[in-house]
Amino acid sequence: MFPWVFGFTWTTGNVIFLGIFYSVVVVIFTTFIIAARRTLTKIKAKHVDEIAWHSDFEDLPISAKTCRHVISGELDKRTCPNGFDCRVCDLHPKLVFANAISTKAQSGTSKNSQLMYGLNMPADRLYHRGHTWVKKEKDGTLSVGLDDFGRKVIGETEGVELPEIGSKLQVNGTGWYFKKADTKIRVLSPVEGNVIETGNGGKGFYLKVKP
Amino acid sequence: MDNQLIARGVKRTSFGKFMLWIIPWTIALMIGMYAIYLVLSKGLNQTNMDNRFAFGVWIFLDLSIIALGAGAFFTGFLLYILKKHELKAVINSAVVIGLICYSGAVLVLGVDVGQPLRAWFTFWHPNVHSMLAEVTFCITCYLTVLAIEYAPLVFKNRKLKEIPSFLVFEFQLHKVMPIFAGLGTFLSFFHQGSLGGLYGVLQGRPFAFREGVGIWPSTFFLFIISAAASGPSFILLTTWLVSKISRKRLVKDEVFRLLAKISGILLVFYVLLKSIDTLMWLNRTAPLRGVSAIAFFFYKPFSIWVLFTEIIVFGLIPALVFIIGSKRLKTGWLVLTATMVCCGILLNRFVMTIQTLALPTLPFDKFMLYTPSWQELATFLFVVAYGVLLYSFSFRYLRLFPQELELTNEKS
Repeated sequence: MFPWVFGFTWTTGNVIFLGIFYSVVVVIFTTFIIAARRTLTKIKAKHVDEIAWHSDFEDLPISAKTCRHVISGELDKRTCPNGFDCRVCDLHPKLVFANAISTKAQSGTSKNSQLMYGLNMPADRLYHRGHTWVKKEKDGTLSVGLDDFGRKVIGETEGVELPEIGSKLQVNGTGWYFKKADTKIRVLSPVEGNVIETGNGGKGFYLKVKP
Repeated sequence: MDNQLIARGVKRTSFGKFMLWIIPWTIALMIGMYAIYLVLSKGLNQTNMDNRFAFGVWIFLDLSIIALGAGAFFTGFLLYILKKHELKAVINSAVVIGLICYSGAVLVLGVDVGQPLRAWFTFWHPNVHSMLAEVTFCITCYLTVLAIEYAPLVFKNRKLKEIPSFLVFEFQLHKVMPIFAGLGTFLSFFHQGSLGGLYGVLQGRPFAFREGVGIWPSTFFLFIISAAASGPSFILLTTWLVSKISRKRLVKDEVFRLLAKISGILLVFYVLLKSIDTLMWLNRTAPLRGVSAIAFFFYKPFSIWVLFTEIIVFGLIPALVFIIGSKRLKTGWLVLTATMVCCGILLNRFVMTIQTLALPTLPFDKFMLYTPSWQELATFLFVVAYGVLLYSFSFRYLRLFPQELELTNEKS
């Protein structure tokens, strides 16, 4: 098996056979080690939540991965290939732009408001699974608010507990709390960044974040 | 009792009923273990094999389950390399079946060699001119690949994936799976072929001896193609069986139809090549060796019906059924046809082992009947029980069929 083992000879058969074998073993071993190293890197970089989301997304049945643009009627059939992360989608900006032109042509406004199953879901923003939305402002900051579904589900609240200005938000971490009766309802942050302004809903957003 | 270990959204039978299923197979496993203990402690005289009849039911089992387990590498090749995404529905199950088949084969080989503790000699002093050295190396590497492919399924268990390192490691392994699929295809190609390549050197057995191209006899290619053809059929059959036993719909019908179509196309190719090979053997190879090929078919119980059954009944007919009817026929017919395909492969491997050795080669040789001893059959049963147990636990606690959840929701 090895040159120093008794009986080994440098014949063509030995060289080819053992050469292929060792190549295969090296590929198996190297690939395994690369996967292990990437694992350690991701854990150290605290990407576990993001990976958990992608892993759960893969397990969803096809019917649960329908693209939001199918629900809004823009497309007939599409399965989301991006884990519901519209930021990395090639098609999403094109559909938003096309919808903006179409809506402006129909209504004379550019509000981009869209009703989907009775819910107001403007197309000029991105939606998070925690029922928050994110809109990129011209100055590069991100406005964060609660979507129509979240607002209807939570209903009237007795107060809101917003993070302090300057505090750092993590994706899928706590964004803010609603107070209702004796309960605190936690709303997930859809983005990562520093809070630069709070809005309390009245300004059209709850948080303004600098990514 | 073990609901926390079962994947979310899917239903499994109660723990008590599951144990009722497991216990008989565990008893069979223990009987097999006792038989293995007898063989390893007292020697191969526990079997009915001898110097004259060196291949028995174990080698037949080895060749058969390695051929049927080819579904693992072939499904992986079709999914990860050729991007047939429909097969994502069965790839997990195919990996488990592959692992069962190859680990079972290695186990039986370990018993068959009589002194498994000396198996390392094969690696330390390989005879690179032997097809079997190549088989040993390939199977060892491929078993490692299968174990690595099985690991993500285990890490994705509902409880285990709560451990961050398991979750992330599973995700990373999944990303590099195409590399392992490619490696698996390469390794399987060679060891499936090398098992057939043996018949290029078996000159003392003119019934099985074949010529070919260079160092590769025709059986090298026939074994590869037959394994690739039977693999999808075996996956189809096992998926249907699991579906029936669990009383759940696990995959969509279109998956069965795709597996049937793939199996049918390869089977047509195989039947054509096998027919040409048989004609060449009848008219050229055997006469050149000074034997009358047709005389081999006068020995009862192995007469011409075996050849007819192998090529026509279990070869051509299922191939045509799959090619013509894969889109039209009901699932039941596809399953029956898949069973015929698997039987064809088992019959071929039987012919190349048991029948080959039974037939006389020298003028003073007699036709030899071989009946396996209870220890050999119990070892066979051990492998079957091991396979059923491993699959049962995998089906209960791991997510083997991604479409199950969707189909369960549709039904409700």
